[in-house]
Amino acid sequence: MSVDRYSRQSFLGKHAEALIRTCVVGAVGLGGGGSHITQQMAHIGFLHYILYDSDVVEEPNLNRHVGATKADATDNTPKIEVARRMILGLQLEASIEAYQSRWQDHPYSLRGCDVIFGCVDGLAERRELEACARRYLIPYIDIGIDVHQVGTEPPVMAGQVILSMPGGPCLTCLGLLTEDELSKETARYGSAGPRPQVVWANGVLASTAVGVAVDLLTDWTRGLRQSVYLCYYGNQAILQPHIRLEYLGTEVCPHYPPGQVGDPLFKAL
Amino acid sequence: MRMTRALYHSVLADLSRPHLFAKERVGFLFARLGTAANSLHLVFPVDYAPVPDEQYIKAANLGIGAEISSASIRLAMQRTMDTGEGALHVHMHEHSGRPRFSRIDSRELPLLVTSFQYACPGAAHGGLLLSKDDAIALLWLPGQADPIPAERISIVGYPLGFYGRQ
Repeated sequence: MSVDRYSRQSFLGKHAEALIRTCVVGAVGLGGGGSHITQQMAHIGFLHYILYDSDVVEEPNLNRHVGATKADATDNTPKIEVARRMILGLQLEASIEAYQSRWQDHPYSLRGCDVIFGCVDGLAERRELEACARRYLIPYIDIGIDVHQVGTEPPVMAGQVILSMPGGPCLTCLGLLTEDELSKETARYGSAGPRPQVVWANGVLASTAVGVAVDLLTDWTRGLRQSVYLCYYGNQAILQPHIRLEYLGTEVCPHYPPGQVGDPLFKAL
Repeated sequence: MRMTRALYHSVLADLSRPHLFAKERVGFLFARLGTAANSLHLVFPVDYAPVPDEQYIKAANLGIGAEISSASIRLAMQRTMDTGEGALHVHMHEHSGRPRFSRIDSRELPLLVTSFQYACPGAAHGGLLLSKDDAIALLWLPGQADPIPAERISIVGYPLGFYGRQ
């Protein structure tokens, strides 16, 4: 490996490069957000990837899908292949385990990850992914964005970056997932068109998520010591900690008790 | 092996306490099993039981860091039998860098694990050895007579820690 390639990120620490090289990173969803994440992870030097996306590239993806080309849309190239091409273009020795399927169809690979990025649509998908990450003690970084429009007001773009750390508050504790919203979600997803997504907002959230992961791994800031819940206000171009963080107690997350990890354990009564 | 940083800190804090006469402290971690791709076994310590002060025995052999009573071992066996969780003998060598099991550790640990395997054959048992900033583990997977070293020990929290990496 060229020393020069990483010289400008040497401030991450003397062990950072080794940590990054050996970390196994999972990404579920390789579209608008996930394509940014895999590209950046490859630039940083990550070598081990577990990737999931069941979709192929289509024309409407080209407004935001980093690395996808017009030819990919014409050929309906699987998104995992776009990600693979992008990673291998930067890291020839990368090991990439990619599934053109839902992660639930190949869950065993995901359990071997050190960090999981969730770039999925919908709250139910988030809940399932977080539940898996919690059960196998894997930090889960969630990003998401949505656009709402009420009446004649301008559309409102908002999103989030959350680090769900085993043992700490989960997406439900943090208020992102509620039973009410889960039950409503199939009926709506924004009102500015089907699943509204734009490249600049995805880029902000994905870049922030990658920054959180690198800090978690290298501890270069020596400041990341608690939950991350950042809100993105796209209309104002603001990213700030969610106010809910100020009111979190010190109690253990009741949704994922510490003992409920690993494979389910059955005992004869 | 993966455990939360909170649990790891509680183990370190306990093992770092001086004992009246024992040169080192001992405890037991109780762990659940997980399976990942490529037949990878994941071991998740979920709880820690320190050996109480009164269950240490004054060792006749000065080379032994800590000798504990059979009562503490019976308690650990009972728990594995009751819960289905594996038991890991834990102790610490007071230095920095990669620790190594001593000859006494290597002789005694298999005997202890045999007892745990009788109590709960379906779990993974073994030993975890900490230093001030590193760790190694030997694990007996279910049905296995011989141990394997933990490929790595992940401390999950802020920040992530990886020990024992090959």
